[in-house]
Amino acid sequence: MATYDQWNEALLSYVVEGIPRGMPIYLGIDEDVIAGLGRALPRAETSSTGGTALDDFCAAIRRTVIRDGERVSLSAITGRTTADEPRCLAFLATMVLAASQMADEEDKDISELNYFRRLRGILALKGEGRPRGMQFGKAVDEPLWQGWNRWLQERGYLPSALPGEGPRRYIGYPLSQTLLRHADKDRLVRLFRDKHWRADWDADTLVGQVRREGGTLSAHLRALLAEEGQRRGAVAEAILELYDLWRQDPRPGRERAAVASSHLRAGIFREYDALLGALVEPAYHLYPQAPRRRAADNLELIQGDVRRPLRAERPGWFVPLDPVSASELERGERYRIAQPAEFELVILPQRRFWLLIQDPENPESGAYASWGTPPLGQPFILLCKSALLPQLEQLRAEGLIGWQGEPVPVLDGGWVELRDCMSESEAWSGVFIEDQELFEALRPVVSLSISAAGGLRVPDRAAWVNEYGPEITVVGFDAEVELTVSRVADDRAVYEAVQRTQVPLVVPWPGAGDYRVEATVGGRSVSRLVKLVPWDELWATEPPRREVVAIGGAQVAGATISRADEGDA
Amino acid sequence: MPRWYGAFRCVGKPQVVLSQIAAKVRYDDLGRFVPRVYFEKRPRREFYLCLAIVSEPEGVPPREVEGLLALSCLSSPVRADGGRLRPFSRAEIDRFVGAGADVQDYARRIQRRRTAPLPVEDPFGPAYGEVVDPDDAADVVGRTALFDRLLLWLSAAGAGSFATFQQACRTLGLVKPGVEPRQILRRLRLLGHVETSPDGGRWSIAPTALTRLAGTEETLALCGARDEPLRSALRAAAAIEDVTQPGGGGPAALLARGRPAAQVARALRAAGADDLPEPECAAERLAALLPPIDAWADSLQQVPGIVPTLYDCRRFDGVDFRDVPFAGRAGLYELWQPERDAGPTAPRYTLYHDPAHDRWLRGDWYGLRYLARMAAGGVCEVEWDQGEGRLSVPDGWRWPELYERALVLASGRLPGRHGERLVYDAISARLIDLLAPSLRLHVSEVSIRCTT
Repeated sequence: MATYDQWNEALLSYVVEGIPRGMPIYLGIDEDVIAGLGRALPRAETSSTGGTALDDFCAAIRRTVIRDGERVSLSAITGRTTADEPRCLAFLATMVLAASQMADEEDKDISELNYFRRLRGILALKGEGRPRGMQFGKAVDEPLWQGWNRWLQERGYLPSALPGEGPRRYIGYPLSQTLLRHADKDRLVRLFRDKHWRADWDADTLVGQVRREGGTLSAHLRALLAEEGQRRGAVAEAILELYDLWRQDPRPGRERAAVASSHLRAGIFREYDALLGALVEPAYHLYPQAPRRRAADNLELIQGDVRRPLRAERPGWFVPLDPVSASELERGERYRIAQPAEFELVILPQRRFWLLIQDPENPESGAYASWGTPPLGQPFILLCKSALLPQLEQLRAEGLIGWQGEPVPVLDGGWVELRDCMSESEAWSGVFIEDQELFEALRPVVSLSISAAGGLRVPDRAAWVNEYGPEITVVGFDAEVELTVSRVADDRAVYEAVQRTQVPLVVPWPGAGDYRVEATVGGRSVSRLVKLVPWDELWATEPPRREVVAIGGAQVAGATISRADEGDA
Repeated sequence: MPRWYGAFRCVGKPQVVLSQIAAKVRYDDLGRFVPRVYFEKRPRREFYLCLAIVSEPEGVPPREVEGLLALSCLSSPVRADGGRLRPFSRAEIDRFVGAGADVQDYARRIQRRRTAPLPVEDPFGPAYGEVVDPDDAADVVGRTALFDRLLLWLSAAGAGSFATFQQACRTLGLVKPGVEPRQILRRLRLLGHVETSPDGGRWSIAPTALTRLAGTEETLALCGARDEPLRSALRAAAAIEDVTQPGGGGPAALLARGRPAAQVARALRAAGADDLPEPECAAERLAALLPPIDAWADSLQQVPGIVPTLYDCRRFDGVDFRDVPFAGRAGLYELWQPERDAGPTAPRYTLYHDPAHDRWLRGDWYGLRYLARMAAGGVCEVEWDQGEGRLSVPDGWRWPELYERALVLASGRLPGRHGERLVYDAISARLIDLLAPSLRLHVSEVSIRCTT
């Protein structure tokens, strides 16, 4: 039977694997997830006689944190492992599981009392209210969540666990980690089935389709879909994951064989030689996303008739492959994964438009790809079908978006690029265009964002080198914001100011370390992380693609010379 | 929330009416409710304007804008039956005020940030005018430290675009007139530290290597990727000397002496440089591989679609570029966009035209110039001091980069300047024998006295 540590490790992989840096992390643990993870872990002997993975999980937690059958002791799960991983995650998952059970069944009665009834149930503790050993949320629950948040930030992820208001302060943390409830999942699956949806959509398109069915959705689901800020993307990903899992295996969640989809999505990576300018067209490379929720090695994809190894480029993405053709972009494409067997396809979704943003880890690189939603105030490239131009002109006439220059025909003229495109206004209400998906993609969903530019980046670590930290710019519709820079290690503010938006700020970074930059105005806030690494911690890295000079049958790379058939020099 | 339009008949000067509306919208912070105002095209003393109003139901303005609608300039609204403000659609107001109506925007907007873009720099752009400071310049040590940092950063980044390289050089303060990023990149390639893609758009750090200096058995130079653990391992394995480049124009040459090469290599492998090849004299091995200059020209990137008549052509005449109408002659050309209002400040392309194969070639600027000089019938006259192991090359005949790399790798140091000539150290007879035929050199043996 799996130990606490094995569950902890499996959960950690499930939670962070394949998530791009800078993204928020939600635990999103429920019984389906536990059931799925349990399939890959050693099972208790009772499992053959009806015990479930959830039973195993609860037993593992109890063995580790329950003393004398009636008291919680968290001493064994505080701190980090020798691999510098947090020990507390499986226990935090238990708390999220309790919150998820409560939210599922007691929508209108979310309280500490009900939450601890669920938690006691999982821990097999009698009685009501906070268990012994957990009497004080401030001394027990909160430090665990803060430690988890700190660990995430040190690795470049945005934390999402937040306290609640007033008496819900401590149950706010686990509640903030639940995304889709069982009822939401059931409703969504019914919708997929009733609508006979089978298309290879991406998250934005799928959520757009779901949103159009607003009248038939529950109030909670409608509220989820109206989420703004960082939770919006997490909800969309959760819905897409559910959709993919359902397409593969329409059985209810707990009976499904897999906890994560065998389908990967691909975006596009734009390559353009600006120096040759109009002489060459941009090329749009297939840009596969790495699997979320689980590690994967030695993947090979078949593009054309050629097997292509998928090599990691950065968390969440593989190295771009060959360019896609106009027809592949037009109709979408499925690429078979040759190995391993647990993965089946890479799907290039059929889209009428793509928003290509600057590399979030290296904006100066000149690269554009489908890395996500354009941050507020950051120009992007809109690659779209030519037929969408009248609608885009309409948005421009309303002062909602702008772009520089004329649309540039690409890909045999059926598509155009709008360069230096930007959403410029907050007043999108009341303007309608035929393509609602395009409208939703261009409409700003936040009113505040933080950009970090300049300085000397360490691209592979999403960090900057000490003494060469970035300038910070808060972009927003308000004129001023309160800006705070805090050190992650001790949560202490190192810089506070009222800062004008759209004006770069030279931050007096106090030295190497992890910092959280937070901008607040009118009750809204946004944050981003900045990591500064000392010079003596710059490790040499193997480039994803090594440039070589071919001379005859040899390859020259710097001062090394090898025969071409030896591969990289 | 729908957006609808209310129309008003106004009297007076449109600018006065506009200023009254604008003041009220701003004072009451009404941009969310009244994002835009449209004025009749070419308004006269009596004119119509339309307010875009965001509210539901249409025709019922939100309470927040009651004060705005009470302005005397808006006292004549177009009303529907029942006296309410008549809601118009966008299509209707286009007919009403004309498609070319003046628009005033009150919505809160994001202003485009006007950040200074990186100067557009062709990685293959002109390399002339490069400045190398004198060796006794006060900032040689400081500049060397910055170049060392650049090399550490390149090793950590691994690879990137030319733009990222430009940005790094500027952030570290290495760029100044006469020392442009493309020139720094060239120096790093010569030293065996980085490599670039054929189009110059991408770079990657070169693999870590120990190269034996030409004519020695036990002096090694560290090339390519490095970090602090590797440097520490090298210090522990051998006697180390940091030798600054001429004028502090690049990262210091890290020379290891006093231990057998194989032993030093083993120590570095143990420190993590798993793929470190056996040390060899990279200069001589490279020189042995290099093809005759014509074959090298065949390996350059061909630029398709060049129509020279679309550009203002300037041809290199051996000293400078001169305006010439394109007549199809071989040579090095700058192709400039035809003069516009402001006038371009750099050529659009710098290319070698090869009429024999009807092709335009892109590549290392010095290499293209070498081709052009040879095409004009010139010969590169070099002087070699066999005793000192020094080679002197005329500045105007600087070699194609790969050939020059063989010279630089021989010592681990960039060339020094001696008047109008470049002087390379540790150049062995074997190197001269290998390179002279490929570049069709005329070699004279002399005594060269200078400090590089």
